[in-house]
Amino acid sequence: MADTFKDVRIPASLYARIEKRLPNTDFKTVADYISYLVRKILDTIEEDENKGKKDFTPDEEREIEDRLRNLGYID
Amino acid sequence: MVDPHGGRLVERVCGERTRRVITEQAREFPCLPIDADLVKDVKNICFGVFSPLEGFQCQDDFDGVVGHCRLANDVPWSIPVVLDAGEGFARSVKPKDEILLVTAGKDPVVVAKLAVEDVYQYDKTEYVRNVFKTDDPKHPGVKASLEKEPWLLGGKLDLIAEVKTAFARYNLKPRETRYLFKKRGWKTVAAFQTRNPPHLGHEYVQKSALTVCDGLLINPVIGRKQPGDFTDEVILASYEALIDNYYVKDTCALTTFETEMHYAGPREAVHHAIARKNLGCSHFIVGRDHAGVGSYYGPFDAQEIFKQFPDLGITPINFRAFYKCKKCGSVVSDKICPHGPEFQVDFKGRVVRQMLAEGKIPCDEMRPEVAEAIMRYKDLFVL
Repeated sequence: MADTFKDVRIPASLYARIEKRLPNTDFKTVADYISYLVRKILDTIEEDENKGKKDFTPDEEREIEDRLRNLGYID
Repeated sequence: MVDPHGGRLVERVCGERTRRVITEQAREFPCLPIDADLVKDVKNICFGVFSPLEGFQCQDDFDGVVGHCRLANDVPWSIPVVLDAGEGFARSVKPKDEILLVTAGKDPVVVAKLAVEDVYQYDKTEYVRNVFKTDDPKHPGVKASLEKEPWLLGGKLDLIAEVKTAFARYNLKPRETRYLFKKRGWKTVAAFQTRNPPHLGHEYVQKSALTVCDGLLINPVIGRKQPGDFTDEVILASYEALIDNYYVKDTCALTTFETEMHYAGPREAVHHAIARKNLGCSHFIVGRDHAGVGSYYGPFDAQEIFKQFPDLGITPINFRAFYKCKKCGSVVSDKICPHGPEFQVDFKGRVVRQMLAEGKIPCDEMRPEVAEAIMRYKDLFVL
Protein backbone atom coordinates (compact mmCIF):
# COMPACT_ATOMS: atom_id res chain seq x y z
CA MET A 1 0.00 0.00 0.00
CA ALA A 2 3.03 2.27 -0.39
CA ASP A 3 2.77 5.39 -2.53
CA THR A 4 4.18 5.17 -6.06
CA PHE A 5 6.41 7.87 -7.55
CA LYS A 6 7.35 9.44 -10.89
CA ASP A 7 10.50 11.34 -11.75
CA VAL A 8 10.33 15.05 -12.57
CA ARG A 9 13.29 17.14 -13.72
CA ILE A 10 13.75 20.58 -12.20
CA PRO A 11 16.61 23.07 -12.66
CA ALA A 12 19.59 22.31 -10.42
CA SER A 13 19.55 25.89 -9.12
CA LEU A 14 15.93 25.51 -8.01
CA TYR A 15 16.76 22.19 -6.38
CA ALA A 16 19.62 23.86 -4.49
CA ARG A 17 17.38 26.71 -3.40
CA ILE A 18 14.79 24.30 -2.01
CA GLU A 19 17.44 22.13 -0.40
CA LYS A 20 18.82 25.19 1.36
CA ARG A 21 15.46 25.87 2.95
CA LEU A 22 14.96 22.28 4.08
CA PRO A 23 16.53 22.66 7.56
CA ASN A 24 13.90 25.34 8.34
CA THR A 25 11.03 22.95 7.62
CA ASP A 26 9.64 19.69 8.98
CA PHE A 27 10.47 17.91 5.71
CA LYS A 28 13.18 15.30 5.42
CA THR A 29 13.66 15.36 1.65
CA VAL A 30 13.45 17.86 -1.17
CA ALA A 31 10.88 15.62 -2.87
CA ASP A 32 8.59 15.73 0.19
CA TYR A 33 8.89 19.50 0.40
CA ILE A 34 8.19 19.98 -3.30
CA SER A 35 5.15 17.68 -3.10
CA TYR A 36 3.84 19.79 -0.22
CA LEU A 37 4.36 23.06 -2.06
CA VAL A 38 2.85 21.84 -5.31
CA ARG A 39 -0.23 20.49 -3.54
CA LYS A 40 -0.66 23.82 -1.78
CA ILE A 41 -0.39 25.78 -5.03
CA LEU A 42 -2.68 23.40 -6.96
CA ASP A 43 -5.32 23.71 -4.25
CA THR A 44 -5.33 27.50 -4.62
CA ILE A 45 -5.52 27.27 -8.42
CA GLU A 46 -8.38 24.76 -8.30
CA GLU A 47 -10.26 26.88 -5.77
CA ASP A 48 -9.94 29.93 -8.02
CA GLU A 49 -11.25 27.96 -10.99
CA ASN A 50 -14.42 27.09 -9.04
CA LYS A 51 -15.12 30.69 -8.01
CA GLY A 52 -18.25 32.22 -9.45
CA LYS A 53 -20.02 28.92 -10.02
CA LYS A 54 -23.69 29.01 -9.04
CA ASP A 55 -24.40 26.84 -6.00
CA PHE A 56 -28.17 26.44 -6.44
CA THR A 57 -30.80 26.74 -9.13
CA PRO A 58 -33.88 28.85 -8.24
CA ASP A 59 -35.97 25.65 -7.88
CA GLU A 60 -33.43 24.14 -5.52
CA GLU A 61 -33.32 27.34 -3.50
CA ARG A 62 -37.12 27.27 -3.07
CA GLU A 63 -37.13 23.60 -2.09
CA ILE A 64 -34.30 23.95 0.45
CA GLU A 65 -35.68 27.16 1.87
CA ASP A 66 -39.08 25.52 2.49
CA ARG A 67 -37.47 22.60 4.27
CA LEU A 68 -35.22 24.80 6.41
CA ARG A 69 -38.19 26.96 7.36
CA ASN A 70 -40.25 23.88 8.29
CA LEU A 71 -37.40 22.63 10.46
CA GLY A 72 -37.08 26.02 12.19
CA TYR A 73 -33.63 26.92 10.86
CA ILE A 74 -34.83 30.10 9.14
CA ASP A 75 -37.73 32.48 9.91
CA MET B 1 -18.03 29.71 0.66
CA VAL B 2 -15.53 26.89 0.82
CA ASP B 3 -15.63 24.43 -2.11
CA PRO B 4 -16.70 20.84 -1.50
CA HIS B 5 -13.82 18.44 -1.06
CA GLY B 6 -12.47 17.38 -4.44
CA GLY B 7 -14.27 20.33 -6.07
CA ARG B 8 -17.79 18.95 -6.52
CA LEU B 9 -20.64 18.13 -4.16
CA VAL B 10 -21.74 14.56 -4.83
CA GLU B 11 -25.45 13.75 -4.92
CA ARG B 12 -26.46 10.27 -5.94
CA VAL B 13 -30.14 9.86 -5.24
CA CYS B 14 -32.46 7.88 -7.54
CA GLY B 15 -35.45 9.64 -9.03
CA GLU B 16 -38.94 8.47 -8.09
CA ARG B 17 -39.44 6.31 -11.20
CA THR B 18 -36.09 4.51 -10.90
CA ARG B 19 -36.73 3.97 -7.22
CA ARG B 20 -40.12 2.39 -7.92
CA VAL B 21 -38.77 0.12 -10.65
CA ILE B 22 -35.81 -1.07 -8.58
CA THR B 23 -37.96 -1.67 -5.51
CA GLU B 24 -40.46 -3.67 -7.59
CA GLN B 25 -37.68 -5.73 -9.17
CA ALA B 26 -35.66 -6.12 -5.97
CA ARG B 27 -35.92 -9.92 -6.06
CA GLU B 28 -34.02 -10.04 -9.32
CA PHE B 29 -30.92 -8.41 -7.82
CA PRO B 30 -28.43 -10.00 -5.43
CA CYS B 31 -29.12 -8.38 -2.03
CA LEU B 32 -26.50 -7.69 0.63
CA PRO B 33 -27.79 -6.87 4.13
CA ILE B 34 -25.89 -4.00 5.78
CA ASP B 35 -25.83 -2.83 9.40
CA ALA B 36 -26.87 0.58 10.71
CA ASP B 37 -23.33 2.00 10.47
CA LEU B 38 -23.08 1.11 6.78
CA VAL B 39 -26.53 2.59 6.18
CA LYS B 40 -25.11 5.86 7.56
CA ASP B 41 -22.08 5.59 5.26
CA VAL B 42 -24.41 5.10 2.29
CA LYS B 43 -26.34 8.25 3.22
CA ASN B 44 -23.17 10.24 3.77
CA ILE B 45 -21.84 9.20 0.37
CA CYS B 46 -25.09 9.74 -1.53
CA PHE B 47 -25.85 13.16 -0.02
CA GLY B 48 -22.27 14.41 -0.40
CA VAL B 49 -21.04 14.47 3.20
CA PHE B 50 -18.22 12.25 1.96
CA SER B 51 -17.65 14.10 -1.37
CA PRO B 52 -15.83 13.37 -3.64
CA LEU B 53 -16.64 9.70 -2.91
CA GLU B 54 -19.42 8.45 -5.16
CA GLY B 55 -19.50 5.00 -3.64
CA PHE B 56 -17.57 2.54 -1.54
CA GLN B 57 -13.86 2.68 -2.25
CA CYS B 58 -12.25 0.45 -4.87
CA GLN B 59 -8.82 -1.02 -4.26
CA ASP B 60 -6.79 1.83 -5.80
CA ASP B 61 -8.46 4.38 -3.52
CA PHE B 62 -8.38 2.00 -0.55
CA ASP B 63 -4.64 1.38 -0.95
CA GLY B 64 -3.93 5.11 -1.24
CA VAL B 65 -5.99 5.93 1.85
CA VAL B 66 -4.54 3.18 4.00
CA GLY B 67 -0.99 3.74 2.75
CA HIS B 68 -0.64 7.52 2.69
CA CYS B 69 -4.00 9.22 3.37
CA ARG B 70 -4.75 10.07 -0.26
CA LEU B 71 -7.27 8.86 -2.83
CA ALA B 72 -5.90 7.56 -6.13
CA ASN B 73 -6.40 11.08 -7.61
CA ASP B 74 -4.24 12.60 -4.81
CA VAL B 75 -7.17 14.18 -2.93
CA PRO B 76 -6.61 13.88 0.86
CA TRP B 77 -8.65 11.13 2.53
CA SER B 78 -7.72 9.49 5.82
CA ILE B 79 -10.28 6.81 6.80
CA PRO B 80 -11.27 4.06 4.34
CA VAL B 81 -14.97 4.01 3.50
CA VAL B 82 -15.56 0.41 2.53
CA LEU B 83 -18.24 -2.22 2.16
CA ASP B 84 -17.27 -5.63 3.52
CA ALA B 85 -18.80 -8.91 2.43
CA GLY B 86 -18.38 -12.56 3.29
CA GLU B 87 -16.45 -14.80 0.92
CA GLY B 88 -19.54 -16.56 -0.43
CA PHE B 89 -21.26 -13.32 -1.45
CA ALA B 90 -18.03 -11.73 -2.73
CA ARG B 91 -17.27 -14.68 -4.99
CA SER B 92 -20.82 -14.59 -6.39
CA VAL B 93 -20.48 -11.03 -7.77
CA LYS B 94 -18.12 -9.48 -10.30
CA PRO B 95 -17.42 -6.03 -11.73
CA LYS B 96 -20.33 -4.53 -13.70
CA ASP B 97 -22.89 -6.46 -11.61
CA GLU B 98 -25.52 -4.42 -9.80
CA ILE B 99 -26.48 -5.39 -6.27
CA LEU B 100 -28.90 -3.96 -3.75
CA LEU B 101 -27.91 -3.01 -0.23
CA VAL B 102 -30.74 -3.72 2.21
CA THR B 103 -31.18 -3.11 5.92
CA ALA B 104 -30.31 -6.12 8.05
CA GLY B 105 -33.02 -7.85 10.05
CA LYS B 106 -36.75 -8.29 9.65
CA ASP B 107 -38.61 -6.46 6.86
CA PRO B 108 -35.50 -5.32 4.96
CA VAL B 109 -35.62 -1.95 3.25
CA VAL B 110 -33.78 -1.47 -0.05
CA VAL B 111 -31.34 1.32 0.79
CA ALA B 112 -29.18 1.65 -2.30
CA LYS B 113 -27.99 0.13 -5.53
CA LEU B 114 -24.28 -0.58 -5.87
CA ALA B 115 -22.73 -0.83 -9.34
CA VAL B 116 -19.87 -3.19 -8.54
CA GLU B 117 -16.51 -2.04 -9.91
CA ASP B 118 -14.11 -3.98 -7.74
CA VAL B 119 -14.10 -7.07 -5.51
CA TYR B 120 -10.92 -7.45 -3.46
CA GLN B 121 -9.32 -8.80 -0.33
CA TYR B 122 -7.18 -6.84 2.09
CA ASP B 123 -4.61 -7.34 4.80
CA LYS B 124 -6.44 -6.52 8.05
CA THR B 125 -3.27 -6.26 10.13
CA GLU B 126 -1.68 -3.76 7.76
CA TYR B 127 -4.99 -1.89 7.63
CA VAL B 128 -5.34 -1.45 11.39
CA ARG B 129 -1.65 -0.67 11.92
CA ASN B 130 -1.79 2.13 9.35
CA VAL B 131 -5.19 3.56 10.22
CA PHE B 132 -5.17 3.13 14.00
CA LYS B 133 -1.41 3.04 14.61
CA THR B 134 -1.98 -0.10 16.66
CA ASP B 135 -3.18 -3.66 16.20
CA ASP B 136 -4.31 -3.95 19.82
CA PRO B 137 -7.73 -5.68 19.70
CA LYS B 138 -8.72 -3.74 22.84
CA HIS B 139 -8.84 -0.57 20.73
CA PRO B 140 -12.55 -0.31 19.76
CA GLY B 141 -11.79 0.71 16.16
CA VAL B 142 -9.28 -2.10 15.72
CA LYS B 143 -11.73 -4.57 17.24
CA ALA B 144 -14.53 -3.47 14.87
CA SER B 145 -12.14 -3.62 11.88
CA LEU B 146 -10.87 -7.08 12.73
CA GLU B 147 -14.46 -8.29 12.99
CA LYS B 148 -15.25 -7.13 9.45
CA GLU B 149 -15.64 -9.64 6.64
CA PRO B 150 -12.48 -10.41 4.63
CA TRP B 151 -13.66 -9.14 1.23
CA LEU B 152 -14.46 -5.60 0.10
CA LEU B 153 -16.78 -4.45 -2.68
CA GLY B 154 -16.16 -1.13 -4.37
CA GLY B 155 -18.34 0.85 -6.75
CA LYS B 156 -20.72 3.76 -7.20
CA LEU B 157 -23.93 3.98 -5.17
CA ASP B 158 -27.37 5.30 -5.91
CA LEU B 159 -29.62 5.93 -2.93
CA ILE B 160 -33.02 4.26 -3.14
CA ALA B 161 -34.47 4.99 0.32
CA GLU B 162 -33.29 7.34 3.03
CA VAL B 163 -33.46 5.47 6.32
CA LYS B 164 -34.20 8.19 8.85
CA THR B 165 -33.12 8.20 12.47
CA ALA B 166 -35.01 9.56 15.46
CA PHE B 167 -33.17 12.85 14.98
CA ALA B 168 -33.83 13.35 11.28
CA ARG B 169 -34.87 16.96 11.83
CA TYR B 170 -31.28 17.82 12.79
CA ASN B 171 -29.67 15.86 9.98
CA LEU B 172 -29.21 18.53 7.32
CA LYS B 173 -27.61 17.56 4.05
CA PRO B 174 -24.59 19.48 2.72
CA ARG B 175 -26.66 21.44 0.22
CA GLU B 176 -29.00 22.45 3.05
CA THR B 177 -26.26 23.57 5.44
CA ARG B 178 -24.57 25.38 2.57
CA TYR B 179 -27.81 27.17 1.74
CA LEU B 180 -28.36 28.01 5.41
CA PHE B 181 -24.88 29.52 5.71
CA LYS B 182 -25.39 31.53 2.53
CA LYS B 183 -28.80 32.74 3.72
CA ARG B 184 -27.29 33.89 7.00
CA GLY B 185 -24.43 35.62 5.21
CA TRP B 186 -21.78 33.38 6.77
CA LYS B 187 -18.66 33.31 4.60
CA THR B 188 -16.53 31.63 7.25
CA VAL B 189 -17.97 28.93 9.50
CA ALA B 190 -16.27 27.06 12.34
CA ALA B 191 -17.40 23.49 12.92
CA PHE B 192 -17.44 22.05 16.43
CA GLN B 193 -17.64 18.31 16.77
CA THR B 194 -18.88 16.84 20.02
CA ARG B 195 -20.03 13.69 21.75
CA ASN B 196 -20.97 15.37 25.04
CA PRO B 197 -23.28 18.04 26.46
CA PRO B 198 -21.54 21.41 26.70
CA HIS B 199 -19.75 22.64 29.80
CA LEU B 200 -18.33 26.15 30.17
CA GLY B 201 -15.04 25.12 28.58
CA HIS B 202 -16.77 23.98 25.39
CA GLU B 203 -18.70 27.25 25.28
CA TYR B 204 -15.45 29.18 25.67
CA VAL B 205 -13.86 27.32 22.75
CA GLN B 206 -16.91 27.77 20.53
CA LYS B 207 -17.21 31.48 21.28
CA SER B 208 -13.48 31.97 20.71
CA ALA B 209 -13.94 30.46 17.26
CA LEU B 210 -16.97 32.72 16.70
CA THR B 211 -14.83 35.79 17.23
CA VAL B 212 -12.89 34.95 14.05
CA CYS B 213 -15.66 33.25 12.02
CA ASP B 214 -19.06 34.52 10.88
CA GLY B 215 -20.91 31.46 12.15
CA LEU B 216 -20.60 28.34 14.25
CA LEU B 217 -21.87 24.89 13.33
CA ILE B 218 -22.30 22.65 16.36
CA ASN B 219 -22.29 19.19 14.85
CA PRO B 220 -22.61 16.32 17.34
CA VAL B 221 -21.82 12.82 16.18
CA ILE B 222 -24.97 10.72 16.35
CA GLY B 223 -24.64 6.98 16.19
CA ARG B 224 -23.44 3.90 17.98
CA LYS B 225 -21.86 4.88 21.26
CA GLN B 226 -20.02 3.28 24.14
CA PRO B 227 -21.92 2.34 27.33
CA GLY B 228 -21.75 5.27 29.75
CA ASP B 229 -21.78 7.93 27.00
CA PHE B 230 -24.53 10.57 27.16
CA THR B 231 -27.50 9.64 24.98
CA ASP B 232 -28.06 11.49 21.71
CA GLU B 233 -31.33 13.00 23.03
CA VAL B 234 -29.54 14.49 26.02
CA ILE B 235 -26.73 15.96 23.92
CA LEU B 236 -29.13 17.64 21.49
CA ALA B 237 -31.41 18.99 24.23
CA SER B 238 -28.44 20.39 26.16
CA TYR B 239 -27.17 22.23 23.09
CA GLU B 240 -30.64 23.60 22.31
CA ALA B 241 -30.66 25.07 25.82
CA LEU B 242 -27.19 26.57 25.45
CA ILE B 243 -27.94 28.13 22.06
CA ASP B 244 -31.32 29.52 23.16
CA ASN B 245 -29.88 31.14 26.25
CA TYR B 246 -26.28 32.08 25.50
CA TYR B 247 -25.76 32.62 21.76
CA VAL B 248 -26.56 35.65 19.65
CA LYS B 249 -29.46 34.79 17.31
CA ASP B 250 -28.42 33.40 13.95
CA THR B 251 -24.73 33.04 14.79
CA CYS B 252 -24.99 29.34 15.49
CA ALA B 253 -26.63 26.25 13.99
CA LEU B 254 -27.10 22.80 15.49
CA THR B 255 -27.13 19.86 13.09
CA THR B 256 -26.01 16.25 13.43
CA PHE B 257 -23.33 14.14 11.78
CA GLU B 258 -24.66 10.59 11.63
CA THR B 259 -21.66 8.34 11.50
CA GLU B 260 -19.79 5.57 13.23
CA MET B 261 -16.95 6.63 15.55
CA HIS B 262 -13.73 4.78 14.69
CA TYR B 263 -11.63 6.31 17.52
CA ALA B 264 -8.77 6.62 15.01
CA GLY B 265 -7.46 9.82 16.63
CA PRO B 266 -5.44 11.95 14.17
CA ARG B 267 -6.66 10.25 11.01
CA GLU B 268 -10.25 10.57 12.19
CA ALA B 269 -9.76 14.27 12.93
CA VAL B 270 -8.91 14.79 9.26
CA HIS B 271 -11.91 12.66 8.23
CA HIS B 272 -14.18 14.73 10.46
CA ALA B 273 -12.76 17.95 9.02
CA ILE B 274 -13.42 16.78 5.44
CA ALA B 275 -17.06 15.99 6.26
CA ARG B 276 -17.51 19.47 7.77
CA LYS B 277 -15.84 21.08 4.74
CA ASN B 278 -18.49 19.41 2.62
CA LEU B 279 -21.16 20.89 4.89
CA GLY B 280 -19.71 24.30 4.00
CA CYS B 281 -17.43 24.96 6.97
CA SER B 282 -14.17 26.84 6.47
CA HIS B 283 -12.70 26.04 9.91
CA PHE B 284 -12.68 23.00 12.15
CA ILE B 285 -12.05 23.10 15.89
CA VAL B 286 -9.56 20.48 17.03
CA GLY B 287 -9.12 19.99 20.75
CA ARG B 288 -7.02 17.69 22.84
CA ASP B 289 -7.04 14.01 21.82
CA HIS B 290 -9.70 14.47 19.12
CA ALA B 291 -11.46 11.16 18.36
CA GLY B 292 -8.96 9.36 20.53
CA VAL B 293 -9.50 6.58 23.01
CA GLY B 294 -7.35 5.33 25.88
CA SER B 295 -3.72 6.35 25.46
CA TYR B 296 -3.18 5.21 21.88
CA TYR B 297 -2.47 8.73 20.60
CA GLY B 298 -0.57 11.72 21.89
CA PRO B 299 -2.82 14.55 23.15
CA PHE B 300 -1.96 16.79 20.20
CA ASP B 301 -1.38 14.23 17.41
CA ALA B 302 -4.76 15.18 15.94
CA GLN B 303 -3.56 18.77 15.60
CA GLU B 304 -0.14 17.89 14.20
CA ILE B 305 -1.48 15.70 11.38
CA PHE B 306 -3.10 18.67 9.63
CA LYS B 307 0.39 19.94 8.70
CA GLN B 308 0.62 17.07 6.21
CA PHE B 309 -2.30 18.42 4.18
CA PRO B 310 -1.69 21.85 2.63
CA ASP B 311 -4.50 21.07 0.19
CA LEU B 312 -7.16 20.02 2.70
CA GLY B 313 -9.20 23.18 2.12
CA ILE B 314 -10.42 23.57 5.70
CA THR B 315 -8.44 25.34 8.40
CA PRO B 316 -7.99 23.70 11.80
CA ILE B 317 -8.43 25.88 14.88
CA ASN B 318 -6.33 24.19 17.53
CA PHE B 319 -7.00 24.43 21.24
CA ARG B 320 -4.38 22.92 23.50
CA ALA B 321 -5.92 23.34 26.95
CA PHE B 322 -8.75 25.30 28.49
CA TYR B 323 -9.62 25.56 32.15
CA LYS B 324 -10.90 27.94 34.81
CA CYS B 325 -8.27 30.28 36.23
CA LYS B 326 -8.90 31.46 39.78
CA LYS B 327 -6.70 34.52 39.21
CA CYS B 328 -8.33 35.55 35.90
CA GLY B 329 -11.76 34.68 37.31
CA SER B 330 -12.89 33.12 34.03
CA VAL B 331 -12.50 30.28 31.60
CA VAL B 332 -9.21 30.69 29.73
CA SER B 333 -6.80 28.81 27.50
CA ASP B 334 -3.08 28.27 27.96
CA LYS B 335 -2.54 30.78 25.16
CA ILE B 336 -4.07 33.73 26.99
CA CYS B 337 -3.59 32.99 30.70
CA PRO B 338 -0.15 33.68 32.24
CA HIS B 339 -0.92 32.16 35.65
CA GLY B 340 0.56 28.98 37.00
CA PRO B 341 -1.02 25.59 37.62
CA GLU B 342 -1.85 26.57 41.20
CA PHE B 343 -4.61 28.81 39.81
CA GLN B 344 -5.92 26.32 37.25
CA VAL B 345 -9.09 24.34 37.81
CA ASP B 346 -9.72 21.70 35.17
CA PHE B 347 -13.20 20.72 33.99
CA LYS B 348 -14.06 17.47 35.67
CA GLY B 349 -16.27 15.46 33.35
CA ARG B 350 -16.65 12.68 35.86
CA VAL B 351 -17.89 15.06 38.60
CA VAL B 352 -20.33 16.71 36.18
CA ARG B 353 -21.75 13.34 35.17
CA GLN B 354 -22.08 12.23 38.77
CA MET B 355 -23.84 15.45 39.83
CA LEU B 356 -26.24 15.36 36.89
CA ALA B 357 -27.06 11.72 37.60
CA GLU B 358 -27.86 12.74 41.21
CA GLY B 359 -30.10 15.58 40.02
CA LYS B 360 -27.71 18.34 41.14
CA ILE B 361 -26.72 21.31 38.98
CA PRO B 362 -22.92 21.50 38.56
CA CYS B 363 -22.92 25.32 38.74
CA ASP B 364 -19.14 25.69 38.52
CA GLU B 365 -18.93 23.72 35.32
CA MET B 366 -22.17 24.08 33.41
CA ARG B 367 -24.87 26.65 32.63
CA PRO B 368 -27.94 26.01 34.82
CA GLU B 369 -30.28 25.98 31.80
CA VAL B 370 -28.12 23.29 30.19
CA ALA B 371 -28.06 21.18 33.35
CA GLU B 372 -31.85 21.54 33.74
CA ALA B 373 -32.40 20.47 30.12
CA ILE B 374 -30.28 17.38 30.76
CA MET B 375 -32.01 16.49 34.00
CA ARG B 376 -35.41 16.46 32.32
CA TYR B 377 -34.38 13.07 30.93
CA LYS B 378 -34.71 9.92 32.98
CA ASP B 379 -31.94 8.03 31.23
CA LEU B 380 -28.90 10.23 30.70
CA PHE B 381 -26.44 7.57 29.65
CA VAL B 382 -26.17 4.77 27.11
CA LEU B 383 -26.58 1.43 28.86
